[in-house]
Amino acid sequence: MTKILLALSILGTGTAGFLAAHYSAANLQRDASATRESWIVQTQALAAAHSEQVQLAEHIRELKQSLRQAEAAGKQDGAWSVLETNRVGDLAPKLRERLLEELGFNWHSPEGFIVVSKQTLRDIYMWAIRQGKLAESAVAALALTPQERSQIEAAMERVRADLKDWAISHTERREPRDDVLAQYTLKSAPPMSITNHFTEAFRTVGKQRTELLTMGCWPDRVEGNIQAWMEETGLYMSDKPVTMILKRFEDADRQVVKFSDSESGPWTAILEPFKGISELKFPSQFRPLFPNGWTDVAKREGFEISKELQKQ
Amino acid sequence: MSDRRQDFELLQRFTLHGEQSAFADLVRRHLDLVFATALRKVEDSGVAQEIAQNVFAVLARKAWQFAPDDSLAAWLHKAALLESKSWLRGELGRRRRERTAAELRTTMHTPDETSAFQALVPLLDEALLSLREKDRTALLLRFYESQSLREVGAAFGVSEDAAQKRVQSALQKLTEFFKDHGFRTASVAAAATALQSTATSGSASLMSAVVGAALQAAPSAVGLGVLLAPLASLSRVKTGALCAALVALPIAWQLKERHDAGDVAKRIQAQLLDARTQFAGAQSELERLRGGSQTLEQALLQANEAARRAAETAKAFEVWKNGVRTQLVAEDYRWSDESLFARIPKSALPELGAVGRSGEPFCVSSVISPSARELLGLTPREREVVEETLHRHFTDVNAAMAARMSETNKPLEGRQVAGRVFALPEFDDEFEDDKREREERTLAELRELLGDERWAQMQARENAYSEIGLKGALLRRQDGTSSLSVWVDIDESGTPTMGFTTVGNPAAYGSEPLSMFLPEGDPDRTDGAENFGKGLLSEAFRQRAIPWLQQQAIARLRKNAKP
Repeated sequence: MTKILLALSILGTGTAGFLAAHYSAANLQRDASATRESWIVQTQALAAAHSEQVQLAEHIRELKQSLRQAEAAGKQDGAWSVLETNRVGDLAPKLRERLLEELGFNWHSPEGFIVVSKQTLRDIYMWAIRQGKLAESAVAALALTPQERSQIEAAMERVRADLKDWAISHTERREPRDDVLAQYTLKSAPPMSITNHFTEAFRTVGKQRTELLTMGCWPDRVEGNIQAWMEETGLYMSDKPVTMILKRFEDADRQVVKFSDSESGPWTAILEPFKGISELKFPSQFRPLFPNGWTDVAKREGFEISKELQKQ
Repeated sequence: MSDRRQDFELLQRFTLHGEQSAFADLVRRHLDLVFATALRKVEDSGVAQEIAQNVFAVLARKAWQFAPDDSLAAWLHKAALLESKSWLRGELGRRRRERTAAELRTTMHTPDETSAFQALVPLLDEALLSLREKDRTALLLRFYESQSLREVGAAFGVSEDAAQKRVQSALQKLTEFFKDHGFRTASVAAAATALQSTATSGSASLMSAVVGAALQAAPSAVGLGVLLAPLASLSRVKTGALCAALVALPIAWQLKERHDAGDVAKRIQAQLLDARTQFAGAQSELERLRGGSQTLEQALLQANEAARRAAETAKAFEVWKNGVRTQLVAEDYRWSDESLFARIPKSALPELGAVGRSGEPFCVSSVISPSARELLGLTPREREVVEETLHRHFTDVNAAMAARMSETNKPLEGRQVAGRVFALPEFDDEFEDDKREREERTLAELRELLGDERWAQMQARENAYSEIGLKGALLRRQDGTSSLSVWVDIDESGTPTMGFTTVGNPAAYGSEPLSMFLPEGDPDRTDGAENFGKGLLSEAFRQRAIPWLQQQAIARLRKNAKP
């Protein structure tokens, strides 16, 4: 009986232990199973997220590639925007160089010609006038047609003739006396209406070429000033009375002729009959009266000048 | 074979093989013990017979429970007592007890007439139960089953003498029990007599009845006994060990299952946490990617729109270029105020003006002026090569000049606080020859680069408008400077400034803030140092003067500087 009880006790206790362990194990297995379910769901969600990540990454890669291509294709040509927004004369040198390159213009093309920007024509200050006439180089650079050229040169002639007529009628001459060899005074300024002859001619060639023609007289002259341009053509138009005086001076053992005009000041220029004199020093206001300068004055007043001066 | 072993084998035969003869042998061997015990308790032979039948019926049911070492006699004695007590507790028992009590009352008046051993009988079984099993078994075998001392010894696996001693010892203990319970006169002999006097023999008919009743009550127990008999044959320790082993395995299995399940649960929990963390990270990354994707899509839309506009622009630009080309290469070319460009016959180039607005076409800094670049029709590549050639030439010439340059202190005047004079000596024939050779080499390179046609144009143009000619225009800039004086003075406000003047051609002078020579990054530095003297001074003078001016600026303008 004791053995039975002992066996039953052990078996009972064992059974209870077994059941407890079984219950606990089952609980744990159930928990593990539930956790596994959650893990599977989570893993599937994670896999889906990873899959979406990969798709998104690929999408982004494609977008970036497309963006790079679109950005490359979308780069605005800076030259065109500058051309659209700036005045013709405001292009930077680098841009002008690039445009000429893109247009295919260089020393070899087009043959026989060179293509330059109009800014360069302004920068180089073309000599528009040569010896009172339009310079051939200016005519070529500005592509003046024969008709345009003849209009301008005809206007120059008319202005020159009008200015001469006006000068003759407004110049006062005094007879030589003592050491004064000659004295002429232009009593008033010529009327600006004389320049009207140019207006029509310049209207024909247009504003740009007018500027280029008239600005090229000398770098420090006012750009586009027709009066300055006229000076270069020998058509000086002073805006106040001017007097030219030629006087003989004794200088040591030789005679010296000096002249003065009201603009240059008294006796600042030296006329040396025997050593030459600069033609430029002839007061241009009197050029309409004396087209050949000192030679015409000497001939008119009866004194001698050097042969060198006559040649000039 | 011992008595116990014999009982066990009979029980085994009955239990395992259903041998009724073996059970009958068992009844025969122990019926007297059981019957006598019951009779002693109930004092009624009929009842004692019934009790004996019940006891052996119980034995038949529980026969499988016995182990080899169990004393069947002791078990039967105890079972008989229990069965007798149970019967006595019944209704008949109560009546019997009342009668017995009446008789006792009667007999107690005459104690002297009762023999000593008869007084011990009622307590006999209680006294037997108080003994250890071995002692009790020894007495039961000796007195109730009438075994000899040799047989008793054999039952215990001991000698006859030892059996004699055990019987004597048991009788002694029995005697002491009686004494303890008030029988002062009890003795070993009285106890032995009591035992002998209460031993009763069952009849053959009784035995037959008992066997029949027991076998009738036992059949169902025999099958179970067959199963449990091996277990019953084990000792307690073995039984305990077997049961422990029986339960340990499944428990261990379940514990292992539990442990494994725990491990799995932990592992999966960790995996779940890891997956959740990864998922959170992935979600965050997804959000970032989605945001980036949206931004990129918007940017792409804008870029596509910009690309569309750019394509339109490019198309318009191309149309414009075609128009410009057509106008400029036409045989009947006419001036157009709308065009950026003008076409000039090459033959007109030599007479087109003397100088550019910004000076000579070729500058001392080796940079070709834009107008010269266009008039020469230089491509960008040609311009770069020409400028590199000029730069190399001027660098060499300046280095040679700088090497010959002397440096002296300048006598200070007015507010001047420091001054230097950098002077070039008269160059010797060797230097001049070297310089001339270098110039010729450079001119040859330039002519090679530009070609004869352009070279002739350049030469004609320079001859027409420049007294120094093409060589001078290209290579002899600022060569006429013989010395440069630089100084530092303090103006009226106390600020250090610098001034310079040159001797030679071109003559130049100027004044600039000294602060423009402070090192780059200095908060007080002003702009202009890189243009100092450009176009006026040759690089040779600039290279010598600028470091001295930088030293002066640091010494006089830096905070805490000591001039």
